[in-house]
Order: sequence, then structure tokens, then C-alpha cells
Amino acid sequence: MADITTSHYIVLSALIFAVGLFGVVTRKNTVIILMSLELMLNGTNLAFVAFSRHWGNLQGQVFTFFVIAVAAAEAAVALAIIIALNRVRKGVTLDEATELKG
Amino acid sequence: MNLTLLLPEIIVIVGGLAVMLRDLWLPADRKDGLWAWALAVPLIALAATFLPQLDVAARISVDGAMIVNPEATALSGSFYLDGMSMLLKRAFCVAAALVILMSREYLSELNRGQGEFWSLALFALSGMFFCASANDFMSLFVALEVVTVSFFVLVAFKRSSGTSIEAGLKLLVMGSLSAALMLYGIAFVYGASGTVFFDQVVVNGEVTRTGLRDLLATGQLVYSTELLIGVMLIFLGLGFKTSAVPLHVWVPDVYQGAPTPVTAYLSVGSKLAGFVLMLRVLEVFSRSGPMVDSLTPFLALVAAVTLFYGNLGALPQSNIKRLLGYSSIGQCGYILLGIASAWTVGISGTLFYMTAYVVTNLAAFAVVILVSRATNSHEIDDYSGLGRKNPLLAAALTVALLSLAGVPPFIGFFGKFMLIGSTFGSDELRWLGLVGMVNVVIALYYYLCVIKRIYMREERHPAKSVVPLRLKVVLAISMAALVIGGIAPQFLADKTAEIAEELQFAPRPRGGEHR
Repeated sequence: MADITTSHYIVLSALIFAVGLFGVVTRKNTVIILMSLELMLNGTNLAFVAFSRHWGNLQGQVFTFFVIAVAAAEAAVALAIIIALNRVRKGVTLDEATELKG
Repeated sequence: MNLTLLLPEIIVIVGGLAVMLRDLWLPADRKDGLWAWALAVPLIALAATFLPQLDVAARISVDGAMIVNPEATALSGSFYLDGMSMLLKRAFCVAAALVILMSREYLSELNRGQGEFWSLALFALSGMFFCASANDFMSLFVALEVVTVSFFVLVAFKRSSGTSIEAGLKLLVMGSLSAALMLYGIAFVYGASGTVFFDQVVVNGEVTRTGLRDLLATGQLVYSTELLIGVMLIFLGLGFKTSAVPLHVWVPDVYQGAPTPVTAYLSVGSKLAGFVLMLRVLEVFSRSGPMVDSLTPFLALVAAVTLFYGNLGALPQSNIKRLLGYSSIGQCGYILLGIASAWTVGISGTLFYMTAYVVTNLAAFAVVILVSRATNSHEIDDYSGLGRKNPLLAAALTVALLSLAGVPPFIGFFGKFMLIGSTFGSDELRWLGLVGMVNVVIALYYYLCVIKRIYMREERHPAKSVVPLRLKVVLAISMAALVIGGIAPQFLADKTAEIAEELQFAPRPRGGEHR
């Protein structure tokens, strides 16, 4: 078995990030968009941790904790907004959010 | 630890918590008085920024080279206090105070949630403070998210209104997307350099931590494609906050849907937080010549596209908040024009314009709030005849719009003059100056269309706007700043020139000498 190098991790993180980005751009359900956003952040986290191992310092790992904390705050606010959208417009897809345009 | 430097931040955070707790103890019928508590916080923080203890030299000279003064940093180098962060913190304080004065009328229409509104506005202010002082990518990211997440809630604050929730959702999706893109860029920079800090930390003459500034200055970190991709992604993420193309699509929708005081806050606070971070990141990477060469055309292109998008998009608008949203994209283009020419004389103009933008835009929004309270509409057609109904209000809006358009003798004229002038310092960017001038004309057209309606048309709504004392104060302060800043711009211009000197953008490698 060949060793798993930093570039393997980076390729994987880029793939996860790309899957997340694809989901955000193509999906209409806001809950799935939220999941895709989390996927993007987690792809980034993997890159940080891999680079942290590569450079032999802990900055990347510490950064990951901040990202996780911020992602949790973002998710809490996002779910609250989605619930409010559901109350006002009776649905959680982006089709319910098309009143503002021009 | 040098916690004195963090005094304004501590005041704002403690103040935000105090307002939140005070709200819990107040009976429901007496919550209207909370605005005074909220207003006191930015004013005390503003006073604190003038303390002599915070007046520390940002740079010191060691062996002939100017380096960051460790005395001006706190939190082990993550927090840095220099002229730019000081100027911006004062601007943020003024912006928050004016917005709090404007929000009182809007909030009295809500039956609950006043305390949360004030504390969220103050927490957003603390995030802006930390943005102004961020000195590593961790504090940059966290500070920016403090601002963004507070604004998610503030924009969607009117829970019963579909447009407010929709605006919140749009801001949320775009904001989180751009945060993820920026984070990926930071990961690239970390991967290329092995550090997320801007400055090294030296303990007893030994470097215990390396920083990007030093790695770039000594040539240990050389230009590479992944570094460039990382920096570009970071600029994309920051471009979201400043409403730069391509992450600008949320701006008109969110400006229209959000409660008007929040729109006003978003248009100055959140935008300036993005710009100050752009300047900071740019200053760090200006130590690498090839990086400067690759970034300048990128920034110039973004500035040109943003200018055209904002100003052409504003032309067909019939809603004043939407118009101001597009105009805010256009204004972002002007500031980017100064940032793109950072290596010549752009920084001074950029800082001048950023400061001027606070009072100008808030004055416009104050009038929008007042008119919509009387007419219950944001349609530009409903501004017809305002000149006869409310002559002073009409005059205030006219002055604000003319200053945004860049007409002398108001403060916006000198800002635009400095920004467009800075692009003529180098041969490569001369075309950008021409783009800026063409856009001044386009922008003048749609601002004048609003002014024409105010004075030349018959009124549609007989209801006169009643101007409460708080908004009179807002209008008086901003009008005074607009006119005095326009007649005597030297005071602010000298200050920004001094800060630009201190920031030490490395001299442009080529083409910088031609005038």
C-alpha cells in the first residue's frame, strides 16, 4: 500500500468542497442547500487539518475548531430563518423566495 | 497581554450583554427606553478610542526597516491597532449611533424583540471592530462571521413579513457560500505558507512564530499559483461583504426586503468591514512583487465590472431602496478602484471615501425612513412633490444624493476626485479612471431623476412626514459632515494620507513613477 500523502487529503477535500458547491448551486430545497454549505465547510476543514499535519504546526487544527463553532452558529440561524419562511410562505424551497426581484 | 488596546471592543461587548439583560428585567410597556442604553454604548466606545493609552505607534524602526510594533498588538499578535483600524472604529461607532437613532421609530412598531435588536446591532458592531483590527486569518474569519451572522438575524427581523424573511434567506445562502469560498482560500494560503498569522512573534530575540508579512519580505515564501488562487478566493469572499461582482446578486433584494434601518446599517457597517479587511490582506501580500502584478488586473477588472453593473442596474429601478442597493454596488466599484491602485496613491482616497460614505448613505436612508413612514411606500414616484411638502427633508435627500453622485461642493466629490485621480498614477490603470468617469455620468442621471421627481412633479401623497427629534439629530449631524467635509476636506484628507503612509504598501514595481 502506498502512503497516504497530503495531496490525497487535498484532492479529497476539493472533491467534498465541489460536491457541496454543486449542491448549493443546483438544489432548490433550502434544507439541502444548508447541508451542502456544511459539506463545503467540512471539505475546508479537511484541507486545514491535512495542511496542519504537512507543516507540523497546530494552527490548521485550531482553525478547524473556529470553523466548526461558526458553522454551528450559522446553522442555528439558518434553521430559524427556514422555519420562519415555512410559517410565512408555507414551504421551504427557493420557489417560496421569489417575490424580490428586478 | 495588552488588554487596554481592546477597551473599545470590551465596552461594546459588555454593553451589548447589558442591553440584553436589561431587556429581561424591564416590564413590557417600558421597553421603549432601551434605545438610550443602546445609543450610549457606541458613544462611550467612541470616547474610549480617544484615550491616550490607545495611542501607540503602529510601526517601529528596527535596523532601518519599519516593522509592526509589538506594543500595538494584543492577544498574542492577533489584534493590531494602527491608524487605519482607529479611523474605521470611529466610523463604525458613528454609523452604529446614527443607525440606533434611526431604528427607534421602526422598533416601536414591533410588539416584541426590541432588546434582541439592540444587542444584535451592538454585537455586529463588535464584529466590525475586530475586523478593523484583525491581524491573522482566524480573527479575520471569526470577526467577519460575527458581523454576517448578526446581520442574518437583523435582516430577517420582521418575522411576519415575507419579504424580510426572503431577504434574510438570500443573505444567508450567499453569505455562507462566500464564507466557505473565503475559507477555502485561507486553506490554500495556509497550505502554501504554513502560517495563518500576518506577523511573526519574537520572544527574547527568537522567532517563536512566523508570519506572512515576514515570510514574504524575506523571500522565504515565493509567489506560487496556489497562493494566488488562495488570495483571489479570499478577495471573492470579502467581495461579498463589499457587494462586489460576482457575489453581488443578493444586494438589491436584501436592501429592498430588509427593515430600512437594517439596510442602512448593512450598507455602511458590513460593507466597510469588508473593505478594511481587503486593505489589510492586500497590505500583507503587497510585499510580493509578482503577487501585486497578478492581483492588480484582477482587482481592476472586478472594479470596472462592479461599476458598470451597479450604475446600469440602477437606471430602471422604481423602488428607492432597490435604487440605493444598486447605487451601493456602484459605490463599491469606486472604492475598489482605489484599492486596485493601492500601490500609487489609492489608499488615502479609499479611506477618505469610506469615511465619507458612512454619513452620505445614512443621510439618504434617514430620509427614506421618514418618507416611508408618511406614505407607507418605497416607490420613487411617491417622492413626487416632496420639495413642497417637506422642504428640509427634500433638501437633505438632494444633498445626500448629490454627494453620492460626486457633485461639488459635497464630501463625495472629493472622495471620487481622489479615487479617480489615483488611477492616473500608473499607465496600466488609466483606462480604469476613464471607466470611473463614464460611470459618474451614468450615476448622475439616476440620482438626478429622483431629485427631479422631488421638485418638478405634483405630489401624490398629501401626508407630510413628521420628523422626530432623533432623526433631526441624525440629519443635522450627517448634513454638517457632508457640507463641512466638502468645503474643508483637508482635515480628513491629511489624516487619511498619514494613515496611508503608515500602511506602507510596497512601492509599485513598475509603471508607478509616471504622473
